[in-house]
Amino acid sequence: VSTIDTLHVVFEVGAAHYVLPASVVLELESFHGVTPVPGTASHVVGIVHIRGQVIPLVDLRVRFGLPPVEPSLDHRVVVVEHDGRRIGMLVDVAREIAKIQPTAFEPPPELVGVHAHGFVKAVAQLGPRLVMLLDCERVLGQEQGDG
Amino acid sequence: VELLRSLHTLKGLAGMMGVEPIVELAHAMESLVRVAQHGRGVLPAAALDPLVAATQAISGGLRAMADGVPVPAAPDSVLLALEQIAAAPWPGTEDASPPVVLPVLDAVLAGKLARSELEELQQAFERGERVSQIVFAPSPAKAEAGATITTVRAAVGRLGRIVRVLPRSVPRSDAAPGGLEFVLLVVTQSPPQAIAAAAGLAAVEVTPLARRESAAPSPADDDAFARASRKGVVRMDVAKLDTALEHLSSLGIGQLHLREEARTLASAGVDVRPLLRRLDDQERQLRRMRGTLLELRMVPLREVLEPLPLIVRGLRNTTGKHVRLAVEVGDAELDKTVAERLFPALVHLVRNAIDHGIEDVDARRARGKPEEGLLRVEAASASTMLEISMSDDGGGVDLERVAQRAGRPVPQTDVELLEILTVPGFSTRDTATTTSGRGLGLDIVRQTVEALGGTLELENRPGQGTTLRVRAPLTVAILDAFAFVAGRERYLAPIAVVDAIVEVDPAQVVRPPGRDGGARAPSLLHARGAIMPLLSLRGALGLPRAGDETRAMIVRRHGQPFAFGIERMLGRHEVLVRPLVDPLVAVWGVAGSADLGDGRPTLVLDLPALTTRLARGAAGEARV
Repeated sequence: VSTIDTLHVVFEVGAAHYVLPASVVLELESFHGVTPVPGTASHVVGIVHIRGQVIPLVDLRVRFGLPPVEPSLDHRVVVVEHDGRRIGMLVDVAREIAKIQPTAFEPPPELVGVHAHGFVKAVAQLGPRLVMLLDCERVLGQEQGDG
Repeated sequence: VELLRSLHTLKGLAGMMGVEPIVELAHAMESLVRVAQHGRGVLPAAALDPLVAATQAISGGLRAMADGVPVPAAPDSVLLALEQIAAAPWPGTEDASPPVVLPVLDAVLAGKLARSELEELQQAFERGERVSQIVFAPSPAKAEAGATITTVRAAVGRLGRIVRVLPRSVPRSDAAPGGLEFVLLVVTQSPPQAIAAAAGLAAVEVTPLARRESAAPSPADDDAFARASRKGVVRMDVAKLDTALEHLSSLGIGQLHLREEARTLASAGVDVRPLLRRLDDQERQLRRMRGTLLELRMVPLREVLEPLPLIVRGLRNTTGKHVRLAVEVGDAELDKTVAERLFPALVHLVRNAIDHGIEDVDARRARGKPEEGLLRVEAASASTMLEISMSDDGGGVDLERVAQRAGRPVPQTDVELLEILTVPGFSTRDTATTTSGRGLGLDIVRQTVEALGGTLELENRPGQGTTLRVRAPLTVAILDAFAFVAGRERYLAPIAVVDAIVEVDPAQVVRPPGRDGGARAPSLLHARGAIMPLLSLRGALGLPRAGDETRAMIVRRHGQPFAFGIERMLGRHEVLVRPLVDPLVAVWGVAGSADLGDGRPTLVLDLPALTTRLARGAAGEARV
């Protein structure tokens, strides 16, 4: 396994830690406001202009069923490329890249998996913290998350 | 000519599939054969070997594609050989048919010009335009006087079209201390004196190039090939043009900011007239630049419609009907994006015409019509709109059957008929057919056309046929749009869909009885001599209440006026629209987003589509 495959971006949403493989993360941007798009799912906060592209922004707090907070400049936008789409994920904090061996991941306990709408693909222990590997497909899918 | 056409088609197809090596080879072969066709006579024997080699290379490329391995790069040796033969003077043929431009041009210069440039000059001659050769030798003295190749080029460029600027080395002299001079080849209407004057008097030497003696009008075929070859010269990703347009759009918005600053200065008592003149000048230049860039995005409608004969042939086979397709669209061109969005709608109309319009052979014979039906596609463009009409000589629309099926009274006018035919899901068929299907009908076509800012019209001639007219803007990339505020957010709407903007006088607004009485229920507005529904745009978009809605924007839905209440008008902007393609944000009523210069996307609303959604919502409630 090459080093590049073990690199993961670590971010926080509502006091929990999540990771995504660095290979799907295009950039980390600070939040500078968003243009709401009426008629979209509740977790889609709108569109943002990042590096010459207009992309949708998904609020992971809302997606995960947490009460929304007014986004501030402390929030970060994790821009991911998934299935040819480019999408921003609004998270509370993101400032860390960690090395996690693929062997460190294990499937989430069944009960957790069900409750998390399948958003969590795997979990791993990273030092003192438990981190959850997100399933982009589920998180960015079109179906309503809080239904 | 046949060979040329095949090569051009091959090149086009390879280009569509992105197989560059084949494009290059086909292009080189095409150029060579075109040279032969363009009056230089027959192909010399030496040309055959490279042509054969190129053919083999293309076959090799096709095999590679079939095997799913990358197509090898075009062999340089073959390309080079083809180009050399195309560029070399061809012995023994000069007398019979001299090359058109070469006699008037210095041979060394001519050799440095690209084929496309030679062709451009040749066409200029044929159109009777003046072609001048301007020589400028830079020197420190001239530079001090303000004449450099840059200023000369700019001055000459204002008077005409510069085909090429060629540097050439000359013996060092007082006139050319650098041992270098530039030759500008210019197509212009201005006389030599005017050019010399514009470029800085004695700084340049202007030689008008003689017009060709036998300026016979070129046959149509030549024209077509000249056009085709111009197309072959530059192929580029439309996205790059979009980027350029976007930069231009931000320049335009910068202009607006500058004007605001100028106003501030003016109100402080500063004389801003010279500044405003510069701004006006700059604005003209920006407009010209925009026009040029937009032109680059245009594609001939004829090319867009190229797949139609194949589609018609397929339909002939599946329906068993006899149909002839006549495409007479002339030189009409349209924006590539418009073409891409419009094409499926046009295909749908073709299918409808053959499936529903044109009768089968027996019925036609019984009506005394020729067995073969005729489907005619014609086009005409007028300023900013393109009209494409599609007429069949079939049976027309059976009004009574339509009325019965829709459960409505028999339509009295073509407008009413189209209204019924475009009700979502309407179909006159009991069973789905493989061609037109069922339920996916004219409503989709109409939506597509209206989303582009166009219109769909129908002309029904019972027993004799049907004509559908699609009017669409030639270009959509840049949109002339109103900016306004609703629910504290800024929005844009294409000027083309807005009939009027009126002030809302509360005395003119009547609130009819309704169950919820909330923001989503329409009021009645009396404006411009008509009574129409007035709906809060903020409410329609589900936004929280902000300021009072003191203005209304009147749009038309199926010919009927419909007013949206807004809070404030911000002005008029030319913006570059990007569609919102991601499924997360692709919603009904939003056409795309544009940048107003603050780095934040602003939504471009599709107001007619929004009225449709609202009307449907209302109908749904009424049934409860």
